Amino acid sequence: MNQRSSRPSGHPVTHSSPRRPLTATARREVLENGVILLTHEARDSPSVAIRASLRAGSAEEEPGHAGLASFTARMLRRGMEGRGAEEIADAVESLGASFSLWAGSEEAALSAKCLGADVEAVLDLLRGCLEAPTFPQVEIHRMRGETLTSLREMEDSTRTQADLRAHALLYPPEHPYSRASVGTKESVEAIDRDALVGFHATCYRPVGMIVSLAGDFDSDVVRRHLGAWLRGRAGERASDHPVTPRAAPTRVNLSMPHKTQADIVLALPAIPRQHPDYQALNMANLILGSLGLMGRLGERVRDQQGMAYSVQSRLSARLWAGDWMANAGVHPDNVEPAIASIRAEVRRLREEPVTATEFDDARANMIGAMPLRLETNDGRAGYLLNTEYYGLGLDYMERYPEIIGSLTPEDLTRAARLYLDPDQVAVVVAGPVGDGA
Amino acid sequence: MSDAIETRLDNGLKVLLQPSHHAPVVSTWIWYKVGSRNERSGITGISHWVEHMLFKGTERLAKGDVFRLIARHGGHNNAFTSEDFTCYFETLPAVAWKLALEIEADRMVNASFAPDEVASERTVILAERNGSENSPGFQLSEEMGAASFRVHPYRWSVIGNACDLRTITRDELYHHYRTYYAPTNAVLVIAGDIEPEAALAEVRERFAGIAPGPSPPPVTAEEPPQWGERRVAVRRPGSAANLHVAFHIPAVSHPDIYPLILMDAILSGGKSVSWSGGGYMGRSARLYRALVQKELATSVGSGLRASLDPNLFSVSLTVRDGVAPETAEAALLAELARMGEEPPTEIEIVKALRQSEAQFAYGRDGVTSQAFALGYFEHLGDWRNLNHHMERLLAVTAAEVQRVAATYLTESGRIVGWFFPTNRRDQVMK
Repeated sequence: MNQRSSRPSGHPVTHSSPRRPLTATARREVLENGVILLTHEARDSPSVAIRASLRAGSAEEEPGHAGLASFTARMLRRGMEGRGAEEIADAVESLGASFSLWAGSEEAALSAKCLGADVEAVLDLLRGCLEAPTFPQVEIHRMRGETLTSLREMEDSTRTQADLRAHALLYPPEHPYSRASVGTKESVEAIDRDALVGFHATCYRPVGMIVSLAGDFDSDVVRRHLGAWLRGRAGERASDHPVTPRAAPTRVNLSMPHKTQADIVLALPAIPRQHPDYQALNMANLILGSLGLMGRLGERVRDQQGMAYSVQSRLSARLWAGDWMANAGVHPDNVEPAIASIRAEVRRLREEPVTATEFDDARANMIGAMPLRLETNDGRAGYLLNTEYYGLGLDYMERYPEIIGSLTPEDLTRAARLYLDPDQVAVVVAGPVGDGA
Repeated sequence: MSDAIETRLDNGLKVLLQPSHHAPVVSTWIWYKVGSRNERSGITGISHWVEHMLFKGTERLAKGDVFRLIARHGGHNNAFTSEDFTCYFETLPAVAWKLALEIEADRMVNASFAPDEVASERTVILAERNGSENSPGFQLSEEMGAASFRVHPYRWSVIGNACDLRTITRDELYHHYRTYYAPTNAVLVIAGDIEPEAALAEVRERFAGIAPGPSPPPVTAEEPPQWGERRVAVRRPGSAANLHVAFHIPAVSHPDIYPLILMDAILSGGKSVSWSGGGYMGRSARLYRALVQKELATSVGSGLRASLDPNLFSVSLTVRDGVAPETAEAALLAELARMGEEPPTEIEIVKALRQSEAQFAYGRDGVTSQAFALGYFEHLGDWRNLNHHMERLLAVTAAEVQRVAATYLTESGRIVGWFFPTNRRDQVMK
């Protein structure tokens, strides 16, 4: 049997600095076409992770064209000058590479992976999709059917329905954050080729486009390729869409009688990523519903009360605004007790300071997790994109310990009191529950 | 190429060490050879429940401590139960990596299984099951499992049947734990910024004193041959009609597994055999072209379950609006039959191999993925097979791909499962 008799808690928490600091080898440059290029070359893996983002999200849609941004992004790979959808797929997959293009509220985004030797070929293909999509009629028809099926799947998901309604309650209907970027059945049926061509012509421009690469490639080669992307497409960077979400202290039941479990969402307005209160609120939320096995919420609703397998909270601090949402999947009989427990934990966070242990653990976690996130090419490409997307600075990782180290437990309590009021939550329950409150 | 160092302690624990100095990170995994295949009716889901209980306290660690301790170092951890194995992992900064050893050595033998924790976890697991039941895909997969296996434990899902989850006792859980959680039934894998000798000394310090443990009972269930097509249908409210077709294939140790892997890649793109990997590569593959491009389905996929006992190769699709289910089924079955009627082209094979090679490379990015791959291959036979994986795939011929398709993708050996959304009359087959 095991010999040790003391609790294994004596590990001092020290933070190792990465062998080759990312910021020592990462580069940021603005190319002549306005593309912002971030690169990190590394030879520890033969692969390359590519990410890109541009302001071609649903925020750029005209009223009545819901879903156009998403449809356009997904159509880009379905045909370009000189190659049909099949040929594009064949070209990329013959290399053992893969990519996806999609659009959300704020952005159209790209994610790709390939072997280092194939980076140029893949960038060429991606350029063709982004610059010269042909939107073939037959592919539009196919995509429409696929999208309508996705919409039905969303309609049948308790989690998605609760989440969507919560967003609709917090944000004004004219703002993209209030709705799914994929659109509705009616709006998707109305999308035609002219609309796709028009949206692409208006929104796909290089100024302000962010591209990040991490892995085994040559920066000079990549720079040459990307400097030519979307060249000649003039126009300013798309404008911002500020919004102030409002609390909606209401209760909505979405009856889906054929489901076994109910999904609950509790939602509050919060802050955008660049807000000065972000770090404090983020750490407070970590303690509330995320750290370890889903923070205090996991401890109470899952561990102690056994009511849920999945219960947590997240802070979505986005570009133009933010929100806080807790969610849980529970048996219909446990809906009210679960809501009460979550509310009680939010109240406790406001009324009592976090314990020294909780605070130390959260701080240690946030600082310690950063080097682990930067271990893989995926992690590095994502980090680089993120720092640019939110204007954090390429050296964010180096400043991060100090930023987090400057927080105090009082900062967390203050943030909780400002933004997390359990009496103001919008509560949405989707599942085998009755309609109405 | 993996140059892992293998050691076996006197108590039977196999240890695989993979030094990797690209980043100051270490990933530690422990794999126990126990999963749903080791269960019987009455205690289905017990292996998964034992996994849960290993987080609910030992004599020294309070419940929640495992997550808390890992989190305070910025690490991440999790655990999984499958049909064949249960594994636990911790990925930590190198300075704190030994915490993983302390945790795993402790809970290998000292988990408490306190009655009130068992009771509380019962409802958590029932909630986990209920959440899965919300998904039509899960409902169909349970019916498919039951139809595919008349005898073998693979017939029930890893989460277990609700009636068993309601009645399994603390003593049954503890007995299951003591039977299967022992050094002789475990493999410890460590990949990352370690020096092998020093790391091995740390392992010995914590694990060498643990008694070898009992020899677990062998799994004697053998699925008899299937002599005719089986069909199941789930008719419930949902979003779209879904078709699953499964075929019996041999266990992972059988030489036909590699031709089957290549066959699968030709049908729906190369896949990763590790934790991380590349995305979907099936848009230029046969199934997508025959079903999605021809507007019969909105999505299609395939995969094979490589496991210790004979398992299944499966294909699934979502029917497109306006298409009769019978039409989609006929097209899918015809495409599968084609694989057995003529060999794939050289171009198809080259593409499938290239994708598999790329996926294999992507799967080696990061020590968590490296450690996973070692443990996974070890559990399926021998970790050294990881080093021979691509060479084995490269040796498969077109004729072999055709032969395995003809041998295994047969009408009498298939199980056809449909989910029909009762709220969509146009998507229901009589």
